[in-house]
Amino acid sequence: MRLIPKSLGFRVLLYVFATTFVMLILLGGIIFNEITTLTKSVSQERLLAQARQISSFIEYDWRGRLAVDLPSSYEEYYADNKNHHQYGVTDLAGNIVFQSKGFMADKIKNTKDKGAKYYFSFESENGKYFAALKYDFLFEDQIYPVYVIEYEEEFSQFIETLRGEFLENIVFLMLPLLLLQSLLISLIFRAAFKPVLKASKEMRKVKYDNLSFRLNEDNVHSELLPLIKGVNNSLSRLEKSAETQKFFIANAAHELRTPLAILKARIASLKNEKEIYLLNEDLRNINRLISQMLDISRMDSIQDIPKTQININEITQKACADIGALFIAQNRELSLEQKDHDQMINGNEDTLFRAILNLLENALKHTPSDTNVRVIIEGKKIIIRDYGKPIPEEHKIKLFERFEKLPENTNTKGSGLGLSIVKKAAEIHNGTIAIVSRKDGNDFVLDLT
Amino acid sequence: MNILIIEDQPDLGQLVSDHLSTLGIKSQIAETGEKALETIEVGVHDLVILDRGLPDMEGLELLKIMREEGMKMPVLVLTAKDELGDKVEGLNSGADDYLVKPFDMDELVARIHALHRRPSEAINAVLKIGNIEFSSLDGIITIDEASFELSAKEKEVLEKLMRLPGRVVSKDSLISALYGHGEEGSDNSIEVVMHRLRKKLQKAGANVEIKTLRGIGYLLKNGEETS
Repeated sequence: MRLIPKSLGFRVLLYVFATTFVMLILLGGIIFNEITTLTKSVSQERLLAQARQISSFIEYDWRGRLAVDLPSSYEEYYADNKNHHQYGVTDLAGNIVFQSKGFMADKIKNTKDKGAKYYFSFESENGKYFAALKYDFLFEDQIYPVYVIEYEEEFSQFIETLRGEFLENIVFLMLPLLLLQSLLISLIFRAAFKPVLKASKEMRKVKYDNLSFRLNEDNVHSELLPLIKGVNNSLSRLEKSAETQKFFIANAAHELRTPLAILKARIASLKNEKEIYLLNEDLRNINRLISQMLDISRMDSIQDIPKTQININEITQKACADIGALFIAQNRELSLEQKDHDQMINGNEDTLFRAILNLLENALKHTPSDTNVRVIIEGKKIIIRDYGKPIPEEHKIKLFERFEKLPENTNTKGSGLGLSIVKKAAEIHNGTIAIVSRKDGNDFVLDLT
Repeated sequence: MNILIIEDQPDLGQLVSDHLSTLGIKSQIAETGEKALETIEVGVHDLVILDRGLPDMEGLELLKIMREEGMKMPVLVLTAKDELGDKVEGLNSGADDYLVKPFDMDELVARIHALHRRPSEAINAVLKIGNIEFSSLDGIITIDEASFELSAKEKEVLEKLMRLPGRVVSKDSLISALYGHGEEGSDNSIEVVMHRLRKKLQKAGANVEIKTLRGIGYLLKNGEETS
């Protein structure tokens, strides 16, 4: 199954859709990343501001001991029940000097040597995420690491919302955008590829029986001109060869058969009956060969073979009657059994007639002269049943090739063309020809179903 | 009878002309279309044998010109082409009959007679095969010159077979000749007619034989001929 239809316009549209989609995703990613970074840095700024604020309240009390004297508004901020905001101050050894209520001292253990300003985050025992900052504060030649911890929910919620909204919006924005784009693209495509579309449309007019047609070379884009010119050149050559072929087929018959007619007339004036008979027999063979050659060149011809509704039964009957005398001359029986009547197909009467005639000739020539031949019409199948030697499987397909004969028939008068004509005729009618062997003979089945 | 043979091959033209003269039929030969138009004369030529391939024009083209000029004599076209389409084309352009090359002289003569059937000329009206003679004018049949009586249907069948000696006459065409289109004519009834005809022929000592091809048709075989 093809995933991409062959229409050029559709392809262009598909590719543009795909690239637009990728671009939007990429752009979205960049913006999303930018916002995330920005928000993160905002959160870090906040932590840093808090740490600096707290640091600014570090001092010695009247007893000369280190103290953090936070204003009451700050105290309330860090003393909330949810434990969402915490701070702590330690000395260099890591001992806690000051801390807010609920300060998660165990989470800062490994941060002692991380540098003067270190942001980190962790998950608490009840599954909450926290952002934290270690900020080394220099006070009276002593370094006191100040820790600020903040519940991250507000921040992460903000990010979540952003992500959701953003993606949703992008999809909804993309749809009308893509629709608009496809409209524009098809307009652009139509405008840009007008000469190509026109040429394609024109090419449909070309038929094998009308090869004089040429594509218009005016107003064609420079990229396309070589293609159009190439097509026109090919058409010219095709037309010429079709004409030559037509001329040959039309005249070969006349040129070849007139001398035969003269020969036949001369033979008629002879006295010796036996010689007349033999010479006429030779003449018949030559004439048959000419007919077969002409049949082949006609069927091979590039001109379309005209088709109409034809009656298989009538044509088979005609072919049987045509060759019947030759069977009688050999004292053989030829019979026709029509299991079905008036079988119609879309085909060429003459071609089918020739095919059946060739099958009958084949049966007449290549089966023992004391055997009969039966023709059976069954549905749209024409079966020629002979009672000759069954044909070995390995020869069956080859027999339908030109000039092929069974090994034991290589010296007989047949040209080896007859069955190739049948095969060609079957192909012209979208049918098949096959040999089905029985114990006592062969069925040549021309299936036009 | 005077026949104009339009044929560019001098040998073929001469052979046909010679053969016709042995039967007492006069003929002239024209080798080109132009010559033919010069030679042909209404009232002089009773029939034209026309070859399709002439050096200066297509035979059928010449035929068209002849018909346009009001020449109504029968024209027998000799064609090298045996495609059904060609035959139809030939007959449509005004030919009365056609014969495919290479042809039998006897067949040519038979066709000439068939085309040139006139009550005043007796030769054409008698069909003869073996020892049977059939006068299609008065319907009298003789075997070895003794008269031979047949029913109307048997007579019709025999005439049809004698008109196409050595060729298969299809059963269908016999049925439609005997019974027409409206009438009921079955395969059986034709077989009955055929059976009686065979018996009568045998009894009268005819040296012809009616051969049957089952499902296809019948053929009248001259018993004298070697097969």
